[in-house]
Amino acid sequence: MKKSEVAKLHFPRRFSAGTVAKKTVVYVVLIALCLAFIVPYLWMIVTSLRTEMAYNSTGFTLLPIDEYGNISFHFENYSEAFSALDLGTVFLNTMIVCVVNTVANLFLNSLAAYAFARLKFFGRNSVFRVCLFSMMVPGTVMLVPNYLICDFLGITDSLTALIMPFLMSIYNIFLLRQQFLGVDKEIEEAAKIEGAGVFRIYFRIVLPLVKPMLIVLGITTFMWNYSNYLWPYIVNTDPALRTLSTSLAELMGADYDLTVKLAGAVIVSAPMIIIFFVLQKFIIGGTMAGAVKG
Amino acid sequence: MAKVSLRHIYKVYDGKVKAVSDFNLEVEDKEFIVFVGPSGCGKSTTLRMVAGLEEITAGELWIGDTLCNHVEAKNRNISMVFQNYALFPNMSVYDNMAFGLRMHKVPREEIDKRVKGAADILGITEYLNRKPKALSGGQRQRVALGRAIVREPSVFLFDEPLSNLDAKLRAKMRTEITRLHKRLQSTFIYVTHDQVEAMTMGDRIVVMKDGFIQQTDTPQNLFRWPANKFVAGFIGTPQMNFFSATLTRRSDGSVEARTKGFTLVIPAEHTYRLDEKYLGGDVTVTMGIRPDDIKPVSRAAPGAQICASVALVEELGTQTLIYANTDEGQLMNENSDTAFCASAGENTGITAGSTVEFEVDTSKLHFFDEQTELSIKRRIPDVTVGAQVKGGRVFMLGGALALPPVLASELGEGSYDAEIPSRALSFAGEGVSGRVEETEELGKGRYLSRVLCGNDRVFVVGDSPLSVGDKVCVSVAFEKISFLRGREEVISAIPGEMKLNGTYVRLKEGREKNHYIVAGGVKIPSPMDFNQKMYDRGRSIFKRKLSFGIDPAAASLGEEGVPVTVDKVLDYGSAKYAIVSLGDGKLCVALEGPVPADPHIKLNFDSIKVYDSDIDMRLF
Repeated sequence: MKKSEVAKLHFPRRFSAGTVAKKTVVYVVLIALCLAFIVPYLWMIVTSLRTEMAYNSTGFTLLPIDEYGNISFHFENYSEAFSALDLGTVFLNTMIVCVVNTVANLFLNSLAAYAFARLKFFGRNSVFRVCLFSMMVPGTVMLVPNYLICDFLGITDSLTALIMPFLMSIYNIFLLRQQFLGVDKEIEEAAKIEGAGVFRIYFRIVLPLVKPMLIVLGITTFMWNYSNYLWPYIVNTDPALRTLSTSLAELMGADYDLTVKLAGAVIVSAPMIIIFFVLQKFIIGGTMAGAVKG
Repeated sequence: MAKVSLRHIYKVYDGKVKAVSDFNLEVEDKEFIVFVGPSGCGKSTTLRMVAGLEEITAGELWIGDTLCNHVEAKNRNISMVFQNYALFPNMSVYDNMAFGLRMHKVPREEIDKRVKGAADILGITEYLNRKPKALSGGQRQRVALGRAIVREPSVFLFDEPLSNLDAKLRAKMRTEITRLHKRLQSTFIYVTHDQVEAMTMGDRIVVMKDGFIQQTDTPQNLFRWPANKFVAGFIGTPQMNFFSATLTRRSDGSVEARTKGFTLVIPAEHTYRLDEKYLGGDVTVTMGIRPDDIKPVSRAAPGAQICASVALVEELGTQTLIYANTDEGQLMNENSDTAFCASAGENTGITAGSTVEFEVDTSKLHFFDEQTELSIKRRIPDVTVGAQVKGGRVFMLGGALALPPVLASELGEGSYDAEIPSRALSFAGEGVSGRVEETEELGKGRYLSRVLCGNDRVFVVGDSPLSVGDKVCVSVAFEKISFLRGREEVISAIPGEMKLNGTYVRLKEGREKNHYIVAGGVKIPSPMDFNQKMYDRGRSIFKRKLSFGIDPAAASLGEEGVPVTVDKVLDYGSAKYAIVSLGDGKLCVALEGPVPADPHIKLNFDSIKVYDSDIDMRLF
């Protein structure tokens, strides 16, 4: 083939100029949004590895440099944050609250959701409507009544006060009910004819079919309890009952270097970030599954 | 193995929408019965009621010797195969099949044996460890069948199990299910909307429409003797052709069927089953001809020919469908009263646009009343014959019969038409003599004979086979026949059941609460068992408008009970009846002796039928 002929060769154009322009705009917006979310967190991690002096002597940077411009890592901020947060006790408290609340919440709410979806009982729809209506009431409004109830029950200043008021979640019930409604009724009827009772159908047949949604709700419930700050702050005054969020808040208000405070923030947020990356397949899949019935 | 009885079953949603009405069916042990009908006809609802997945609004469901209305699905010893297979997606094929056995706590070794045995029968052994999502549609359907058969239930239920499969696989699975039935020797109830499936699989077929049974019979009988226009149109592919026609009996006994586009002559020997009322030439009826009974010929026999222009020809390999119209101007209008479809063999050489002569098999025509759409050519027809009353005797069916006292007094001398239902005729006892012209087996040890009595032909059902030419004696039950003069009924047959409108009430009388049916405006105390049946219907029973069906045997006259007035005594010799007034209602009561001086009626509450008049439903 002659050189002039080779020069004429070209691959087919896959996209028109308009399509390329549109895609460029979309990617620019997406990248900007990614940066908006990632940069502050990255800055927090980087700054938590620097000294207070280095932080004050340089402007905004995403590099762990000291006041002389050299790369250096200062992990002592983390050891100071560990002790300032009282991490052992606080982490144990948080895990107790989060795990118990998540397990109990999923168990009870899925039972309620299944009842609303499948069982026939007097007033089922009315009760469900009332439940839905209660979703319209802002959570903050419920702080005072909840506190008074806990006080009446004598469970303030205890981990029970952090668990009991949040055992039932209308939001979770609603989402699980929609999932149960999407399960083919014939499968349950087949199990019924085969000899299974309501609970066996629920545990052996239906619950495994909504596993992705259960995982999503488990994660969101865990995260909500993990980051719940206001309620533990109100209901518990005993320092031995502090959770990660209240402990971090105290650290923020205390007389520590900003780099130590940011190290504390990284420590507190790390478990959630890890959980997200490990289970992101379920989170995204489950959220999508909840969007469309069936 | 078990019989399944559905007795007056109803399904009513929200107290007003009737999905199934008065469903009566006896499914024999080991029988393969198919429910067929268009979407929304109530076939699946009925099946689900048998399965225990739907509550029965009224009626009784018996499986074997157990009344199952309130028995849980799991305790009915049934298995069901669903349209969408309904396999448990989170379990392997093995676990799917073993699930029911585990629920019933069958030992592990036995489960393993049964599952592997069923898998072997269905050819799914190699898939036992797979999840349902890794199987094709046909394999999934086999697993669903396997799950049903391992339980070894007494009744198998199938809810349109093949409708999600492609045509080829459907035909294959159809054969497999039929084989399975022969192998398992169980009772099968199968729901489908596909009439080919129904015709090829069922021992008997139940055709349904709008919640009502239209006809229950064997595939052959449904095809040959459709009870109404719907069944005629639904069973058979391609569909039956329908034409508006008038029928006229000719002097030679043949019947002329005149339609808008052609005229056919039906030989006399094929007209005996036709209802004479429609043969005057003044009533329009619907004539049905199956495409297989219209053939293109070079020269058709006189009285059996149709000349038509061909609109469309469909070559189906061994069969050719010819769509034609006797009115060339309406050629492309397939809904016109002159359009029809004919069936022929291969290579007919007929092309669209040509004019073709067709020959109709006039022995296989069907006729339906235009209003009610019921067949007027029934397999066991009722007949109307001329009767001459003279000197206390009636001359009919070529003989003279002594009139019972009531007819002797009510019927003046003269000519009448006697409407004789087939149930009024038998070979038992004295009567008129006749000669058997034709005989056929009805099944279950019953035989139908066409008997020539004088110049009239009657159809009599007997329990022993007869031969053509046999001389027989046909007896007539006068209480079952009506006499008409012109169109006016002079005396009617004894009614099977008379209804009294009323309510059910509970009244506080002193310290006691007493229960009554208020029928015809009269309060009649009801016994405990009856009250319990009424209470089973719920509290609303006291608010509903009811009617009480009482047949002559369900009431008796005596000195005790509720006072009544005897209007008339009907003495049929061997049996006597009294027409009595109970409040503003009328009842017919069988008399066992003379009428008491002060007559009172006593009702047999076990035999009373109760209907809900608000939604026209039989409660029990």
